[in-house]
Amino acid sequence: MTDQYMNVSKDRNSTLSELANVGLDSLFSASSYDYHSRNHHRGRLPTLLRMPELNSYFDTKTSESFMSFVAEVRTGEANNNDRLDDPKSLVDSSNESYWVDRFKSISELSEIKLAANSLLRGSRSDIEYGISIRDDLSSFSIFKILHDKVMSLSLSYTPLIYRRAIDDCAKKDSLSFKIFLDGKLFCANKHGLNHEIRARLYRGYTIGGLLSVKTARKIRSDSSYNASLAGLSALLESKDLYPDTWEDMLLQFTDSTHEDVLVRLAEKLPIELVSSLMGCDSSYAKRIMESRMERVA
Amino acid sequence: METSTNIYNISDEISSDTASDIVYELAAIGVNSSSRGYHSTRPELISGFLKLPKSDLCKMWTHLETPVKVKYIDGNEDLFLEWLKDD
Repeated sequence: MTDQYMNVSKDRNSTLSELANVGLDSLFSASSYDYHSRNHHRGRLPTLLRMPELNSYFDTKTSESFMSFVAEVRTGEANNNDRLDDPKSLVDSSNESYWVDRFKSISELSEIKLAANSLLRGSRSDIEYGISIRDDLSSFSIFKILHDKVMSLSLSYTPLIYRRAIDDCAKKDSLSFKIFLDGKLFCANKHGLNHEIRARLYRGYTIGGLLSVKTARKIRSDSSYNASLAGLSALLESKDLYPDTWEDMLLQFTDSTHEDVLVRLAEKLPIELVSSLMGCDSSYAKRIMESRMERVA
Repeated sequence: METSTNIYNISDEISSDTASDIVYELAAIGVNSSSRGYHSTRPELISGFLKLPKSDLCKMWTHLETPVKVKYIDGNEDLFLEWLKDD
């Protein structure tokens, strides 16, 4: 091979490499990506992410925006049955571990704690995705970190990730969830839990199978119709979790002082229990109840 | 910290024929992107692109945007004229 040929080949390889790098940056690098290329070639992105040959390139990309973008691509792909795989076999399934490891490394509990504020604002989809793909994190720890942050920020709403953490913890680590909440949720001062938060916690508590007749009664007595209604709605959906006590727990709500709660009962109580609303104060709930009974008769 | 200019030797990493198709596709995306007005211009890259062998161009062609194709033809006017004369 002549020197001249080698130089041409080297120039050619270097030009191709440089152009391909610019191409990759256009698609993946937050500082230089171009919207047109990213959208136009969106279908190719999952294939590129599955190429182990490109891992050295991806290793250099560590920003939140890059990882959030990869999370978005992977979530979109997971939700899309029409996967745009390359027809030829480029896919190396072992590369999956590359991404799982990378997302794991950014979603350790220490990272979640540091980023709790941003997570609640919905601006750390990279960590959020990391949490979603791993099953080795304590759901109670995640819930506790987010709960503490919600309380310290005195949020008057419940961010989506916090709601998910409540439901997740209630189902997967119900004992810790119960121990943590029993002293806070079902006492007189509610420990500063506003009605929005109480509503979500009642829901979690109920779908976690933790409710008793006594705690159902306490949810009935909550001063907020919103919180009380959330607990009742969750109970109405959870018949299978309480095979022996479900009806008893529902009946705890029939003397509620909240009209919305009485109306929901009138609409949803099993027909054989609906007459228990006969003495309630809501004329609207009574009309619904009577109408249901007439339809049965 | 993310590296902003990363000259990663992609063509050394990728050896199989199938994977090299991806290199050509990425290179074409790079040319398209570099040629657009709103991106920082990279004249040396465009000039390198214009000097690439025809066999490489052939593999990039379908991924190139029309203004880039025109630029290539314009930059290789002699070849183009020769081709026209051959008809």
